[in-house]
Amino acid sequence: MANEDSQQAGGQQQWQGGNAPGLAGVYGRLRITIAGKPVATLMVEGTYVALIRETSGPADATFICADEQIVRKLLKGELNPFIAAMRRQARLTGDRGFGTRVAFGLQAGSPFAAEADKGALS
Amino acid sequence: MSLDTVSILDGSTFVVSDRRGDLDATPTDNHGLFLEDTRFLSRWILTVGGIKPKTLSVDEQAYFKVQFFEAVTTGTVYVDSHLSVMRRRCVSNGFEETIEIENHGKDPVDLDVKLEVGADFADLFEVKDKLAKVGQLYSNVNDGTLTLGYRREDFVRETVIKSDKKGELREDGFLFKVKIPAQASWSVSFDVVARGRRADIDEVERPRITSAMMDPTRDKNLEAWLAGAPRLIASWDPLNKIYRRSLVDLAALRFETGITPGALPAAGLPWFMAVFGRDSLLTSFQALAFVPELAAATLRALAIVQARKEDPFRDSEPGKILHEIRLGEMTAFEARPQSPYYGAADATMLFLILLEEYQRWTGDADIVRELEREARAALAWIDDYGDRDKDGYVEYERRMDTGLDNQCWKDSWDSIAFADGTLAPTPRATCELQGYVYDAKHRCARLAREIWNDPELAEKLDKQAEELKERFNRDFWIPERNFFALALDGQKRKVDSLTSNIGHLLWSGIADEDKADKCVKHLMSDELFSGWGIRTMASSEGSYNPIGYHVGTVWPHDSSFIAWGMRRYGYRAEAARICRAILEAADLFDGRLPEAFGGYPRSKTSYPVEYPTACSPQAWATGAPLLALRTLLGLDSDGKHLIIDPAIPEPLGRVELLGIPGCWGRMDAFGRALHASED
Repeated sequence: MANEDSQQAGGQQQWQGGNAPGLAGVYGRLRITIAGKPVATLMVEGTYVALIRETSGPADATFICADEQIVRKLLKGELNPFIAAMRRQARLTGDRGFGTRVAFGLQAGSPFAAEADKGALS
Repeated sequence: MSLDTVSILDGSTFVVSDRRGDLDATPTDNHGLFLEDTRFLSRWILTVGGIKPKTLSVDEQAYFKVQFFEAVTTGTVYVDSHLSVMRRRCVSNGFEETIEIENHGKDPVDLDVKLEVGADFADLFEVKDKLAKVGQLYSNVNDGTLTLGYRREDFVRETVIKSDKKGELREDGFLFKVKIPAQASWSVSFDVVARGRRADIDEVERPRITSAMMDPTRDKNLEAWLAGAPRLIASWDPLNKIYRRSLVDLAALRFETGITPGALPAAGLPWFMAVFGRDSLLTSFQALAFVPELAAATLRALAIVQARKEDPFRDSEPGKILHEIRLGEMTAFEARPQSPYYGAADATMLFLILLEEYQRWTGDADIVRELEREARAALAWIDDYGDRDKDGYVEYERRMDTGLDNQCWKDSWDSIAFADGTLAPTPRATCELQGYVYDAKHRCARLAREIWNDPELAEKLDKQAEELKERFNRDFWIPERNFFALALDGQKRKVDSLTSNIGHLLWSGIADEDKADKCVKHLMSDELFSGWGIRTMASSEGSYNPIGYHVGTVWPHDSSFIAWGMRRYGYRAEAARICRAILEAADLFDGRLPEAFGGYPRSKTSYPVEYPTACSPQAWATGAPLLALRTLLGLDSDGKHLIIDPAIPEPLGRVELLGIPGCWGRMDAFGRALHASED
C-alpha cells in the first residue's frame, strides 16, 4: 500500500509517503491503534505524508480504530471522521483538531489511495 | 420553545420538560433528554400517591439547573395540601435529579413514590419529522441500575439510571414505598447518564466524582463569562435585563466541538443544538463587541472542517464552509447528509467577513495568517463553485434530494417566490449572497494588502468587488418597484417580491447610494416594518403570511443586521427605530427574543405574537440585542481605535457600555437620546 516511494523489505510492507495536497500547512504525528495496539504513525509535514511502522515517541493525536478497515479508509482518503465517531468505529484523542484535519486533508488526495487495501496493518 | 416547557442545557445536552418537571414525549410535545441529536429519555413522570404533583413555581436558577416547587393537592380549594415536593435538576452528560417530599402534616403518611421511565432514542430528525425507528430497543435491570438501550448494527446508545435509595426497580421505572413521619421529609436522588460507548474504542467509564448539582465550576464559569463582557448601565431598565439575558443565553449555547479550543455558539434549542456555519458566524459577528472570543473559536473550528472535495450527497465543494453537523442515527447511517453538510451558499462568504471583522476589532493578525490557506480556498470557492454558471453571481441548487432546496438563510422550501406567490425555479441567486461576495472580497483585499503581503491579490479582489457592484445594481434592480429583486431565478428572471433581503445589501454595502435610499424607505414602510421589526416578506406580496416561517414573520437577527446596515449608509434614525422595536419586543418576551415571531402589525397587537415552533434560546436571536446595542452606540473599529457615534432613541434615555474589549484594550462608550431641540 504505497506510492512510488514504497518498498518491500523482509516480506513486510514498508510504507512510505507521498504528496497529499489537502494537508498543506498541517504538521504533526498521528498515531494509529487497532484494537488497542499501536500499529503505525502518520507523519504529516505539509503536503508530504508518510506512514511509518514506528509507534514509540510522541504523537500529537491518536486515532483509535476498531479494525483495519477503518484505517484503510483513512489512508485512502475515504474516511468520514464524523461518521466513524458516531458509529464508534473510531475516535480521536489528543489534538483532535489535528486528527480531523488529517482525515479531511487526505480526502483531497492521498498517496496511499491506490494500494491502501494491500499489506498487513496489524 | 413553548412557554409550557422548561429547558436546561449544557452544550449539546439538554432537557425539555413540562412545568412539573416531567418528560412525556408525544408527537406534539417534544420533551426529552437530548444529547448529540438523540433523545435518551422520552418519559420521566413522577407520581406521589398516584397523583401528579401540581406546580407552584419554577425556579430557573441557571441555564443548566432548575428547581420545581410542587404540592400534592387534594383537589379542593377548601383543604390545604400537607405534602410539598421539590425537584432539583442539573444537566450534565445526562442529568441529576433530587426529589424531596416534605410532610407538613401532624400525622405520618405512607406513600407510593413512582417514577415512570422510558427512552425512544429518537434521532432529532425523527422527532421533528415523526419517523419510525429502524433498530432494536432494549432494557435491563442489574445491580440497582436501570439501563435503557438502542442498537442498530454498531450504533449503540444507552441511558443508565441509578438511584441512591433502594426501591422496587423495573424496566419501566422506579417505585419507592415510603413512610414520612409528621413534620419530616424524604428524598431520593437519581443519576441519569447518556452514553454511546464501545468497549474496544472508548475509555473505561468512570463514575462521576463530583455531583453536577454540587459542582461550583459551571456557576463560576458563568460568572467569569459575564464579568468578561462589558458592563451595561441603561436608564431604560428593561435593557439591562435583556442584555444580561442575552449574555447568559449565549453562554448556555456555547458548544465545545472538541476539535478546537474554545466554544462556538450552537444554533438554538431544541432543534439546532449543533454546529451551524451560518448561525455560528452571524452570532459571533453580533457578539463581537462583547465576547470576541466566540468569533475566534468559530473561525478555527469551521476552518478545520472546510470542504476538501466534491461530494454531491453533502453538497460539498473544495473551499466551502459547512452548513451543519449532526451526530444522530440518521446521519450516522447516511440517511441524512449532515456529516457535515455543506448546503449553505452564504457561509463561505460570512466566514471571510467575520475573519476580517474580528481582526479589525481585536487586532489579532495571527489568526489571519493562521487561516490564510482556508481564506484563500474560500475565495476560490466563490468564483470556481459558487458561481455555478459563470454569470458573475453566486447561485445555489442542491445536487441531491436529501439536500436543502434553499441554501440561503431563508432555507424553508417556499421562501424564494415571485410577487404573485409562484416559487422561483433553481438555481437561485439571492440578492444578499451577492452582497456578501462584494463585502467579503473588499474585506479580504485589506487582509491581503496588510497581512498576507499580497498586493496583487488585494487589487484583484477590490476590482472584482467593484465590477460585481456595478453589474448587481444593474441586473437586480427593479425600476418599476424601486427595490432590488429577491433573486435571479434559474432562467435569470428577477424574482420580484419585496423582502427583508434588501436590508442585507445595506450591511454589505453593495447598494448604490440612491438605490439604498429607496430600499430604506421600503424597509420602513408599513409593508415591511411591523412596528416590532422588519418582516421577512412584505405584507403586499403574494406569499405573505404573518406566521409563515420566512414569508412574513419577523426574525430579530434579520432586523439587527438591517439596522446595522442602515447605520453604514447613514440612516441613524431609521436604524435606531428598528433597534428600539426589537428591544421592546425582547422586553415583552421577558428579555429573551425567540428565533422569530409573528409579522402582525403593532397597531393590531400590543405584544409580538409568538411563532408556534420558534427555537428559544436561539443564537442569532440572542445576538440581536447585542448588535442592536452596537448599532445604537455606533461602535466600530478602524483597526486601532474604538469609534463611538451614538444615536439613541428618546425612550431609551442613556446607555453606558463600560469596558468594551478590542485592539484598544478596554474602552467605555456613552450615549444619550437627544431631545428634538438638541438635534
